[in-house]
Amino acid sequence: MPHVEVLPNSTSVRAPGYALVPDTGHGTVQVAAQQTSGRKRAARSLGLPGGDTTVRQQNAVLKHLAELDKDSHRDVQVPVPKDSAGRVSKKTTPNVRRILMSQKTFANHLADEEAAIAQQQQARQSATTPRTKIVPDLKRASTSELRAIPGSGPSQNAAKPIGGLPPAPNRDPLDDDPLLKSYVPSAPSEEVMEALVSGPPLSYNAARAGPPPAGKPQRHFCEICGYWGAVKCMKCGARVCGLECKGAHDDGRCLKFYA
Amino acid sequence: MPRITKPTERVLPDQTLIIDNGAYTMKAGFANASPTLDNCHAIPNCIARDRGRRVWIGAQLEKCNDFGEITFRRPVEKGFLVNWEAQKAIWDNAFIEKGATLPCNPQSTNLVLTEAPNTPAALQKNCDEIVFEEYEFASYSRCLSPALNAYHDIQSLHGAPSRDSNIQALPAECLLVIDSGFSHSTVTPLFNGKPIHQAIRRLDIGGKFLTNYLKELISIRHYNMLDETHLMNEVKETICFISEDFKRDLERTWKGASASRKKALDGEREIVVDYVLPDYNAHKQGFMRPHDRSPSAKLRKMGSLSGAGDVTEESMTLGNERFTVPELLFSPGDLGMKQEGLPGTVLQSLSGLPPGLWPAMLANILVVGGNSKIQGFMKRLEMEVRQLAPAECAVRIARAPDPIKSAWLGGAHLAAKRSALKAVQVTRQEYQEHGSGWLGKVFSGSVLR
Ligand SMILES: [Zn+2]
Ligand SMILES: [Zn+2]
Repeated sequence: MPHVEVLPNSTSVRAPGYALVPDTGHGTVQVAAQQTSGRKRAARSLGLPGGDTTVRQQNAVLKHLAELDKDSHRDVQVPVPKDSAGRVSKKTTPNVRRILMSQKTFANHLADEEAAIAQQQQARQSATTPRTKIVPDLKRASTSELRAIPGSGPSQNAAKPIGGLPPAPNRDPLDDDPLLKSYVPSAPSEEVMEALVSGPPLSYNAARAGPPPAGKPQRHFCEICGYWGAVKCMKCGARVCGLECKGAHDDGRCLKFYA
Repeated sequence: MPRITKPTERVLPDQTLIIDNGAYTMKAGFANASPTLDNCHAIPNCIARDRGRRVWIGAQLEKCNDFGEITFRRPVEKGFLVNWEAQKAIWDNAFIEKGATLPCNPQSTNLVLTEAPNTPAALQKNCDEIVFEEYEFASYSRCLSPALNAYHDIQSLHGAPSRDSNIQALPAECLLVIDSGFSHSTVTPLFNGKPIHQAIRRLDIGGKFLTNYLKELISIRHYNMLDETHLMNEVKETICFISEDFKRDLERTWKGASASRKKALDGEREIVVDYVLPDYNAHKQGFMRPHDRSPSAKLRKMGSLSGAGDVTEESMTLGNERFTVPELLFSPGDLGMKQEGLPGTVLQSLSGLPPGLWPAMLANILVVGGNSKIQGFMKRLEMEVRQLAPAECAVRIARAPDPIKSAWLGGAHLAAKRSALKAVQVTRQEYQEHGSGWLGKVFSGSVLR
């Protein structure tokens, strides 16, 4: 059961508009406890939600991640210099002309790829005959699906997994199984290896690494100073470490002012 | 069904250009019989515009000395060559125009060009068409950048006696390449130099993401740096390290830690440092120095208060930013990203392979890409992969001597082995006969020649 304590530098009982959130076992509270024993307070008694689970907060996280993956924090237009040979010249083939003029972004190409895959799958599903042999399929099951179906390979929709793919070697229940621990499999045959290296590539989205095993709690940090973010702003969901940083958050960062 | 076309004797010119076309830099150079890293040029793969609105293309940036508010346009987006208008300007500048870094006549040159794993097919087709229809290279092969790393003597990189340092003995049989670059980080298992596609996995965090996160933190805590991506990249490369003990380091850098507590945690080097910002007008580089806690330093930091003529440097004090930023490579969940860190991604990749391959892959891990140069990266990666890997598998993990140019050098080794080069290159004549659809199938291995 999570326990939460008021951080050491807090003098008031509870800051209005702020919630102490259950510690997720990362040391925040344990450290604070050494200096503030006796001021314990169970999170439950506050009756406040602990996780960042609302749709709005999830969208904010996604937006933030997309922001951090950009080349520039705002759209910049750097034109190719006119005297450069980068312009389309006369002798170009229609292909070259089309490619050089294209203003498509990666997001556009990705959307095209996903649409093509969806079409492919629809075509396969509407086919009356049961699926036969090798149908290249760029999708793979997500890691969470894999975990839910023990023993299935990463490309279960695709050509039947070559060489009988094993369950993920992650620290699932396998780790505790002494029988499996001592199991050293033999190297695959030449035929299996040949099949492995001639398999088709996955799509961009299918190759993305999946989430960690369930149960690993997220760490939260103070957005002002970077220390553990034990305190959550009720207005915007941001995390801060204590009252000092809460003040700084209120003064300039609280999303209330942006909304 | 693989179709075997009429075997034609491919005649290739002597000169081979190898381009490892990265998002941040392209690594380019001509191969020779015994290539070295000196044959490889890392050219900025961008068009930049400085605050005086002057535009710089690729290698021209070496002459630029005002990076304040400079903006970049990169043809490679998220690791993939998307914008050929910009890429052509940079290639032309590097290979074709007067004063080119690597002057080249494509019609008498073989091209070995890399792409990132899992490139959308439409982008591959664009690339093939530009290479043959616009540049008219004599022959061409498009391959995964990580795959070229199989053309190194992996045994000696792992400190084991070299089996055969002869180029003719390459590629390595089993190799797991971890490539952590500007756009993302990928894990690619290779068998005899060929990628095992179903097991390639990608973590959507690269050096760009780390730089942007550092920029955000510094903009909240110190100065507005939102327009200073270039500077933030330099700061990142100077100050960042990957913590061996994250919780402990976070306590050590907590502003509220009492002096006695700090002392108890000390005994190691101080984490908190000052970074002195560059002065582009005075041609002064930025640099890091130990944090100065003295009152006079505080006064100096206030700068103008001390009157004109005094040192007017600007600095910022950095603590937990130094390790919470690169920590994202190991714990993307810290920002709410629903992906496992790099060590977990390695294990996810292995889960796409028969268990019989795990021992050989885990014993032959090669790390490339700029992020591997972050202090502490290798130690942490090795430790966590070892923890996650089955106990009976030995884990051997090495960083390439030059993690940036490693793929290029591998490509140069491939080109030096004439029979290997012939096996992968497609000639312009073949392209004209069979078209770009056929070419795509050759490179993906579904059509054998
Ligand atoms: Zn704080
Ligand atoms: Zn707020």
